[in-house]
Amino acid sequence: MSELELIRDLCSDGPFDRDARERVRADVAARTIGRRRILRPRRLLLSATGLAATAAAAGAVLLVAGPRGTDTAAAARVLRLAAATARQQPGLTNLGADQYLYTRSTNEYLDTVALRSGAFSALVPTSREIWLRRDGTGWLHQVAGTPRFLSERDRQAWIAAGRPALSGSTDTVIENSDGSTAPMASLDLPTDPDALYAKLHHDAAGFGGRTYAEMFVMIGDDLRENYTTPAQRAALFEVAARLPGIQLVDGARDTTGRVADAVAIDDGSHHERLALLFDPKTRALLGEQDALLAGNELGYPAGTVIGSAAYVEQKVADSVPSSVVNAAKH
Amino acid sequence: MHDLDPGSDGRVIRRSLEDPHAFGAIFERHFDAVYGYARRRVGADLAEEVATEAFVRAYDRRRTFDSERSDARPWLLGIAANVLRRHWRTERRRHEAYARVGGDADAVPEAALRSEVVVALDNLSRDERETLFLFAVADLSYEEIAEALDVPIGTVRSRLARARGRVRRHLGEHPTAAASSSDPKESFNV
Repeated sequence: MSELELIRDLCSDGPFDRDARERVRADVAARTIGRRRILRPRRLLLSATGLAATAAAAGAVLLVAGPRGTDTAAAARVLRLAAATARQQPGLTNLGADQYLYTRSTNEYLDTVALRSGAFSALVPTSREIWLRRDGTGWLHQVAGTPRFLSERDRQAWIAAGRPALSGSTDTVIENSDGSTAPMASLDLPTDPDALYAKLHHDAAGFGGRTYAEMFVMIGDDLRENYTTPAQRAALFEVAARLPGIQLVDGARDTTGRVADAVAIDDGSHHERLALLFDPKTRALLGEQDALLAGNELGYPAGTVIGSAAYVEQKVADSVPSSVVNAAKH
Repeated sequence: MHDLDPGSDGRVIRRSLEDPHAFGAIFERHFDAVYGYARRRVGADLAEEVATEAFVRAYDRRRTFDSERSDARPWLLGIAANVLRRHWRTERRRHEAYARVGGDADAVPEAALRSEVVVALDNLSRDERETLFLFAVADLSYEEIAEALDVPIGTVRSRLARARGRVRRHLGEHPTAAASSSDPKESFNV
């Protein structure tokens, strides 16, 4: 036999399990059309255990209370103040090729688990620390807390599945295995708002009626775990201020309970309201929040918060703790 | 998700940017290829996780797919290959277990040969290994592998030549492993 035949022999296979397609279809649907990606950057998928999850303050119905009277103008004003503030902030030190951008956040995501016994969704608060090099490689450490369920039906399905563990600590090597996807695209972002708007609009143009919501998502992605200069962050806020459909929403709080100005945009395709949260006094970006609108496919009430993140710390680091590195290797 | 769509993969993926449900057609068309490839490499249980991860990544990155392309299979298999990189240890253990199944005396040389193939694969770089698997197991052409891994076709040729040469050399150094050149894809070799 040739070496190719030997390899094929090694990879021989038995008959397909007819139910596999159905299970995978359900899981893929839950992780794609069942939720949006602003709070689940690609890198987070690398750490997914299949049972990872997330949350929001129990019963939180914050972002669908309705916009203020002068919603779009008020939202734009908040964003422009945030841009002015960002521009005056000291930047991070330069990110060397051998250094890491360290970001610590607390996240609460909705995830749906599809098992042979059925599917369920759970909310698990997670602390997240990530160390990323310029090339997108790095390390991720996450600690998931106690899960909560959005409905009794979800809880019963979890029990029927044998109460699989949803909490715990995970350490992951991030290898940037996403092929041509630029790992830290923010490094090349224009600082001129006009140029940045044109770039993001071009990138989001294929999304048709969701173009502006997608631009909002891209802005959130760039602000989250990417290296950005004060000028880039200011430009991102300036671009957000120009998006049609943005609105200022009353009554928002971040996951730590802080009162926030929430600038939101509705994603009609996914029936979700996406928001960036700002400190009303300092104008600093506090985090993100994602709430369902009426008609959502998850079947939860309008206003249900299915994702949130609070930014805690970001800095340039020279090394990754050995505990994380060693744990990720095993 | 929707039923099969009559359009090309590129057009369907393009349309899914506005109507996410349209991506269901891509799943239905290519599930067997993606799941089957993962299954042959890591077994049935882990293959479901790999296939799920591959389709979720594909959905998230569908904006980058060239809408002029009619067939998304190489692209999807490339994503699956990237997911599988992370499971090489598991895959290697599976192959080692398979290599040991030769129970009777006559099967011992065959088991030894398989074991040496596993060792040879383990000695390859990850890029070489993934290229070789896409060629031998997924049966992709050089052009399709280049598309799958987003590398120039010359890189595919050199990686394959290196990988196959290293496997051959390893097997040639083993007394039970005399790999021949009878494979029908041999004519594509460089």
